[in-house]
Order: sequence, then C-alpha cells, then structure tokens
Amino acid sequence: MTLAFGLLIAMFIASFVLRMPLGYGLISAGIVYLLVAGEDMAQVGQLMMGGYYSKFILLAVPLFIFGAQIMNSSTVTERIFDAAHGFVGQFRGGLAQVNVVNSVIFSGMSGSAVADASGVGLLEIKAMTDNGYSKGFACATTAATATIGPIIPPSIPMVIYASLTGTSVGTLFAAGLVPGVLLAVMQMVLIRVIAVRRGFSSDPWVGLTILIARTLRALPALLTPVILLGGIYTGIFTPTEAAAVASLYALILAFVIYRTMDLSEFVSTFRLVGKQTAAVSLLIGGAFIINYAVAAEGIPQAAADLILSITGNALLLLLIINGLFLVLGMFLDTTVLLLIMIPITFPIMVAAGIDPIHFGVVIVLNMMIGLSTPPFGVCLFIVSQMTDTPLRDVIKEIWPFIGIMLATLLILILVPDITLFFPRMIGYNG
Amino acid sequence: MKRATQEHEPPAVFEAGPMTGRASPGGSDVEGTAPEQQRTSILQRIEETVTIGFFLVMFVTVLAAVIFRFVFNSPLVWTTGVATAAYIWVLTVGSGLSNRDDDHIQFDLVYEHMPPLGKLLARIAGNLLIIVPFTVAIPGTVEFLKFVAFDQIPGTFIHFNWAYGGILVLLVATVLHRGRLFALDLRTLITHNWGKS
Repeated sequence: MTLAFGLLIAMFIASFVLRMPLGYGLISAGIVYLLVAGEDMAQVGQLMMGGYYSKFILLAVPLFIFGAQIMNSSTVTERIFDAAHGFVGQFRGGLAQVNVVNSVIFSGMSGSAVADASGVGLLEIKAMTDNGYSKGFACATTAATATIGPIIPPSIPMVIYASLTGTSVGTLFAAGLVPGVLLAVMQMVLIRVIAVRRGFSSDPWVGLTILIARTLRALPALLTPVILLGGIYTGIFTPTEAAAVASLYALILAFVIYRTMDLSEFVSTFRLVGKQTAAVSLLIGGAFIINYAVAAEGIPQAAADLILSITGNALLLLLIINGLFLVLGMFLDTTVLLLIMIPITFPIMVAAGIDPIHFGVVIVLNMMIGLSTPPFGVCLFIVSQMTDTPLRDVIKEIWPFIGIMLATLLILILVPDITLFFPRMIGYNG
Repeated sequence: MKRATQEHEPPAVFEAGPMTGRASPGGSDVEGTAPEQQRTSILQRIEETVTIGFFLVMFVTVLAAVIFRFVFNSPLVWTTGVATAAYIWVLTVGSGLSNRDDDHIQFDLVYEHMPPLGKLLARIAGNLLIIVPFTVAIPGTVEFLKFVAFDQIPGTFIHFNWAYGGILVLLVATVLHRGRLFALDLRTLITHNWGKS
C-alpha cells in the first residue's frame, strides 16, 4: 500500500470519527490521495464532473426522490392505505398486514426505504396505535416493511449499483419484483404468527362495494408503477426518463386530480429534494475519486486474488460477502456502503461466476436489512423520532422482522432462480 | 450513521454563535445580528432559487427528450448534456442548503460519546480536514475549467466550463462555510472558561 492510499484510509476513518459530512469527507480524502500521489489537481474536477456527466442514469436518483416527496406531500398515501385496508384489513393482525401491503404498493412509486418510512410510515403507525397496537410494534412493523421499498422497483440503490457496475437498471428492476413480493409474503406470515400468539384482532371485511370504491379512489395513484415499469419494459423510455415521467404524473395527481398541493408546499418539497439530492450526490462525487484511487492501487484485483485463493466456491463467497455487508450495514449508510464496497467486491463475484443481477438484488436486500438493524438503523431512528417512541421499544419488537428478512436473504442467496426468473422471462440471458 | 438531527447535538454553549449565544444545530447555523441574518436570508433565497431553477431545467429537459422522441419522432441531441449539467448545478448549489440545515449524511457513533471539549476539538479538526484539501483543489479546478472551456455540450452553445462550473462554487462555498464554523469553534475554544465547565 502506498503512502497516498494510507492517507486516504486515514482521512476516511477521520471523517467518521470526527463526524464530518461524509460527502465532504470522501472528497477531501480523494484530494489528499491525488495530492500525495503527485497527480494533477485538475483531476479532482475531471473525475467528479466527468463521472457525473458520463452517468446519465444518476439523474434518476433526484427524480425518484422528487416523485416520492410529491406523493408524500399529497393525500395519495391515505388513498393507498384505504385501498390496502380494503384488501387485507380482515386478516389476523389486520392493520399490520395493511402496513405490509401499503408498503408494497408505495414501493412501486418510491425508490427509497427512508421515503417510505417517513412518508407513509406516520399514517401506518397512527392507524395501528389508534387501534390498540403497541407503539413499539407499530414502529417496528413500519421500519421493517419500509425496507421493501428499494427491492420492488423503482429503486435508488439499484440505480447506484447499476451505475457502478454497468449492469442494466431495467433488468435489476425486473429482478427485484419477485424477491420484493417474497419478502412481503414472509412478513405477512410472521405478522400472522405474532397476531395469533398475542391475540391481535382483525377488522371486519369492508365488503365488495367499499373495496371497489376505495380501489377506484386510489386507482390514479396505483397506476404510477404501471406507467413507470410499463414505459421501461416496452422501451418507450429509459429508467431516468421513467423517473421524470413518474414525477410528472405525481405532480398531475397532486395539483390536478386530487388538488392537495399548493405552491408553498411545492417549493418546500423542492427545497427538501435539493438537499437530499446534494447529500446523496456529493457522496457519489467523492466516490468517483476514491474509486479512481482504489483502481489505481489495484485493490479490486488484489482483493479478488486474495479471496479467490482462499476459496473459489461461489456460494461460500456470496455468503462471506453478504456477512461482511450485514456487519458493515449495521453501522454504515447504504449509499456509502454501496459506493465503497461494490467496486471492490463486484469483480470478485463476477470472477467467481455469480450473476451480477442476482448479486445486485441480494446486496440491495442485505443493505435494507441494515436500515432496520440496531445499533444504527436509519429506519428505526425515523419511526422512533416521528412518533416519539423510545428506541428501545422499537428495537425490542424489530428482532422477529430482522429474522424473517435474514431468512428471505438466505433463500435468495441459495436459490438464484427466484431473482432471475422474471428477468429471464423478459429476455435476460444471465 | 444518520442525517444529523438536532436532538443529538451537544450542549448549547459549545454550539454558541458569537453574536447572540443561541444554540444552533451542529454548529452550522449561527444566528447573528440583523444585518447578518439578512445576508443569510438573501444567500439562502439565492441557493433555494438556483437549486429549484436548475432542478426544473433538469426535469423539463428529461421530459422534453421523451416527448420529442416518442410523440414527434424527432430525438433531441442536447437533452442528455443539458439535463446532466443542470443536475451538477443542483447538487453543488443544493449542498449549500444541506450545510445550512446541517443535513449532510454524517456518522456520529463516536462523536456522541465524546465530552463537550472533545466534540469541539473534533469539529475544529473535521472542518480543518475539509478546508485545507478543498482550498488546495481550487487552483487545479480553475485550470480544469479553463481546459474544458473549448468544448461545448453537443447541440448547444453551452461550454463545459459553465456546465461543470458548479464544482468551483462547491469548493469555494464549502471553504467559506466551513471556515466560518472553524473560526467560531476556535473562538469558543479560546474564550470559554474550560476550568469551570
């Protein structure tokens, strides 16, 4: 390891210890590397700006954030919740089951677990606690179901993964569908078991007329994923364009159809989106320089040689890498984890013969588990803070959900066909 | 790892601004005298307007690409470049908004367990580790922008020094913002009576 790379790592660690904004921390670490390595300082601009300019797909990130925020700011979430309640409210543990279905539907519009937890989350938790569920259980259910968001397309982590690895975003989105539904079903089974044990009630069925009425009321919103995914898979637009079209549709819903958004809310939504875009994109910009350093030092090749010398067994490697991501995911933000670890681990996985689409979906699910894993699960913080519920109460209830998510992850690792079945149906050759 | 939130912040005295002594989130926003607040408000308005403006340009340009290709069967060559340039400006100017609200992604597991003086020193060191490298990168970035000034985004008259110019704004604005926080924390370190706290 060269002195320049050693300093890069030291700067990277310092940015964690000193609570520096990590976007700036990564950029600073990259600049120090370039400086000590004797590179031209013009490289900073070249790597960052060239990186952004060459990856049009990254524009999908702010556009998906925008669409989700518009949906959250309007009454779309309430309409979806009512429709979901009509479908599964009569099951044992009704409102917890509604929480899962609601997240599945919202997942088709938003690509972020954080947006799901902070958007529909409040509504879900309030409905559950008003009906006698403990705050801890309601919060834990919401945090866990929000993780479905980035598995079912669209998905911001999948967009970033695709930009780092050159895999097709459309194929990744297709590959996330079945695992997302599987995770939802597993969570519903778990809730049923908990509901029976704890004697949770169920709501009476609303009846066909009300169910149809609620579905029709939510229908314009329910069409979002159809427009989004239909557009991508019929080749009408690219994933980035799909994000813009979905956002436009969300605006039409909010301003024209539902008429629930005014100009001031619109401006504050933009402000929020601007900040979120900057926070995520600065990390990506820093990662462009770090990844240049990592490649220049030959780290991916060295890591591949080292790990493949220990074992060439693809399944074992996949389990090891997933174990590593699970541990790191307990402490690191998903974007940081993706940007730093994927360029190192991806070549190893490909060399071992693991399908890049399978790996992408498995890793995204893995990182979503990290959002609900103590000590630093972002979704746990969000639901706890939003509802003024002690974090320990949420953590006490989250363990069964983490168990079920780990079981789903293991199933997906062991049976790649679950992930690859749908992409193959639409022409993927992997 | 989290986006910083106010309830995790250290005691007010260590976040105090020089003008009013009121607490501020993460030591980033310090309320000052009326003229200072006015300047902050104008700057904030500019940041918001520029961010929203470029976001709209990005959004509309991407939509235009779909409409012209799909509806008019006449693909536009300039949309990808213009939308990406607008994205670059959204993220570089938008980072100012995140600075203002202390809303960047940060890791505070270690920081939260530090004593007040440790937190202050961590902030001073952290800001220094941003200010120095960012300052060092400015001359090279100016050279880079001069170099790319000869090329234009395909199908437009927009030169790449304008398309990529956001990086210079990012570097300079971050140095100024972090420099101000660094100076405030340094002043607290020097003027606060640590023996009594």
